[in-house]
Amino acid sequence: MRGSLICSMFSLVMAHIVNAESVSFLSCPIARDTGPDSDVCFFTEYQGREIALIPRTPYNRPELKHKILVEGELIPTKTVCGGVGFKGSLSILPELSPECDEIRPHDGSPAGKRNNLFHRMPEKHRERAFALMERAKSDPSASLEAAIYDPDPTPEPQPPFFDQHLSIYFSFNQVKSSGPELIQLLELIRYANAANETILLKAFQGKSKLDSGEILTEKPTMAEQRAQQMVNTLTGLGVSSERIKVTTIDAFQTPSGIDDWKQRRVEFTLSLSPIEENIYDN
Amino acid sequence: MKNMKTLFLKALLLSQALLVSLMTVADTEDYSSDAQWWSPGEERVFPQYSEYKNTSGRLGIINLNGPINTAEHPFFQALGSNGRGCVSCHQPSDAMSITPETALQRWKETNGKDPLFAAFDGSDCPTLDQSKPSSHSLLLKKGLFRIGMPWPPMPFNGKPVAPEFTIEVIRDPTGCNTDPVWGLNSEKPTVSVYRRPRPVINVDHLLEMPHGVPPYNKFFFNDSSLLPKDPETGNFVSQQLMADGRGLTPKLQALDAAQTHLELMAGLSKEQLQQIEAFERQLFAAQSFDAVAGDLTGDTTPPGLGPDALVKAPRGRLGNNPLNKIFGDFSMWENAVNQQEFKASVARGANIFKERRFYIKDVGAYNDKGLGNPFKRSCGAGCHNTLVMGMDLSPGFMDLGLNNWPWQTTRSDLPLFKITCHANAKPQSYLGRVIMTHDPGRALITGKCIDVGGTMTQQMRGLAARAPYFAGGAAANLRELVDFYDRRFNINYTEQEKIDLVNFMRTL
Ligand code: HEC
Repeated sequence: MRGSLICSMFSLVMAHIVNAESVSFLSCPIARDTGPDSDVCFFTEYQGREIALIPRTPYNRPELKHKILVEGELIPTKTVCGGVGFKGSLSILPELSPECDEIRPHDGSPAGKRNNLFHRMPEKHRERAFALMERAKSDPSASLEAAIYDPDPTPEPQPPFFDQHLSIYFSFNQVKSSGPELIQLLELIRYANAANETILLKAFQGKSKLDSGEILTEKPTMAEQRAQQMVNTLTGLGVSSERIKVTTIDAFQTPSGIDDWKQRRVEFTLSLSPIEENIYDN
Repeated sequence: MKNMKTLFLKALLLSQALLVSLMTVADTEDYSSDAQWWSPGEERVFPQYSEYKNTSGRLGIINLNGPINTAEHPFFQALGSNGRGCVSCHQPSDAMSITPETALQRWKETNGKDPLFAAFDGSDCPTLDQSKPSSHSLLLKKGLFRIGMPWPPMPFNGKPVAPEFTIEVIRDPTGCNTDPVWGLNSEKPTVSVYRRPRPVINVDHLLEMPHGVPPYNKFFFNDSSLLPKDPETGNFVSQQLMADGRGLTPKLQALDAAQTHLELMAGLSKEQLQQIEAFERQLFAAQSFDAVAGDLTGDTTPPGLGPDALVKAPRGRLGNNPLNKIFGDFSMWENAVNQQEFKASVARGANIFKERRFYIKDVGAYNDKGLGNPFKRSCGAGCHNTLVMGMDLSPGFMDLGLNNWPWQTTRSDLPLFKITCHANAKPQSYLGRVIMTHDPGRALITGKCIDVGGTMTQQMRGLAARAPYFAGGAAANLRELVDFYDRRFNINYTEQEKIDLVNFMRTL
């Protein structure tokens, strides 16, 4: 029993290695209508295939009128938005590309999800909202009670404290982060404050090698900009600047065409031990 | 009796309902005992509850903490060196905004001498001959005041911003942007734009930080930078005040209003600022009576209607969900018949507002904040998502197309600017690096190219009392407002759907 589990896990891993197909390309996104009561989804056409453009984080969705840099892995076992599944990074290019402007009408396939916070909120909140909906049938005033409310505060971090690590990834030439990543960052700050730890911040910029061989280089100020945005965030949230140590890595790594997007990141490390200067080669 | 008759006629004209019973209209008691115009400096009582008639019924204002003696209150006093008070432009009968009709009436009554028409911003440009109504055309026709924004941008923190674009005056119908004293090339370079006073009602809802959408009670959705802070308390602010978010807090906003609109250089005292904020936070207003539907308050009406709903409903909540339906449940009116047909239309309108999706596309500072282009949502789920209020909780600056070409090309009355973005700036997402605009909006604060034309969504209460709509007064009435959206987003509403939406909005 146990052996077969390990065995199947092994074959899964193998399958993953064998099947994983890395892609890195620029193209026009195409929007697909998924029915009258749901959002559009996005895919693109690449090398004769339709590939789903699934954002790595919520609210990083493709935009018509703009090209998109697609970097990641295809998941052939999954069909999303009529295309091959995809996992990785999407970057919307800022310059206008008026030629990228196609919306495919709904083709009659099962309607898409009604993507709404209400459908994603915690179970406890949902239960309460459904009870209120029940009540509203006889007492309409219940429809004005908050359905979506603040999450319960999480308990204050307690000792013993340990070192912590968090990486936040960015789209090409961008400094914006997603909601879930910022929530992780807020948690990290709470932890750092409770433990009175120093936050080491290391910011990077990257190059991406496309399947065509072309290399895209981020602006040479991106590491600096990312560091600055994060320092502003930390200090704005009450971390004193003496407790922040910043390193910006301006040097570009050689891109390989595989996972290059992971170069575009800021790493946070919480360290209990005293900090030595120049521990990073710059 | 005369009153009743005009109302009856208006009801017939406006309602589009099949049957309007005389009974509904006869319910209308005389509510207009007070003169409608509030002059600054007058001694009057601003009561705990008051109603003011408008074209489709009456607006109700709850002044929650009790009556105010206007002679002793800085919102009503004639503090300005120009004789104005805040109330000059924020009139109770106009949902604490001011309509062109009210301004025109005032012009006639005072032969243009009311401080409302002060040269500084109550005229198209201070250098024009102030005795002529044509010099106040934007105020008299569209209810617009001149807002002189410093160039380069100078936010409240006093640190000038290096703009990412240059600005050129292409057309200058008011003469103010090319004026040697007031214009862009003057000693104090100024960009004059023209905007409607936003209604000073339900401000408590505007000021609440958004709940239930972490981390966006701390971060600005558009670019994930931290929200600005109130310099007094150090707390984050909601950024919902003013078309461009420049009034960070009621106090800073009032200081700015005092220095510009009131030309009161000394500013306001701490106590006056406190009184103004308290007053703004205790005003709750909505339409309270509709000429066709009748009373909009009480248990037999949908719970989100009437000013009381604003007092009761929680602040700062997303309403675009199956329970809240933005403005609450309207189902009790869904099957209304005959004289009540209008009510069924309102209920359908509420539903269309919340449910009917369309492609929200190419909206600068909106589709590009991660939502995707297009984003297929309804009016309510897309942008007007705040419970009982209808502004964007995000907070939502966006370029709907009301300020910028190619969507807005009919405003020969407004200045036209050409914005050219620097080569290394991030361009406006759907218009690129060269933008023709009547009002650069948020970009006059941030100096950012992506923000050109960006304007903060407004609350949707008391609409019947305060046409024309949109920051630049682009829609003369609710029908024009619906037609704008229909055209802009290719929605293809049916005639009935348009009527339903108008009927719905006039009851808010
Ligand atoms: C000359 C007319 C005028 C006067 C006088 C005036 N305002 Fe305003 N008010 C405006 C205009 C125009 C706006 C909208 C400006 C914009 O959006 O850029 C506005 C907006 C506001 C808002 C924002 C409301 C919202 O929903 O965003 C508040 C609050 C406000 N005014 C309060 C005051 C106070 C307090 C005073 C007196 C100190 C005052 N106003 C005096 C014209 C005026």
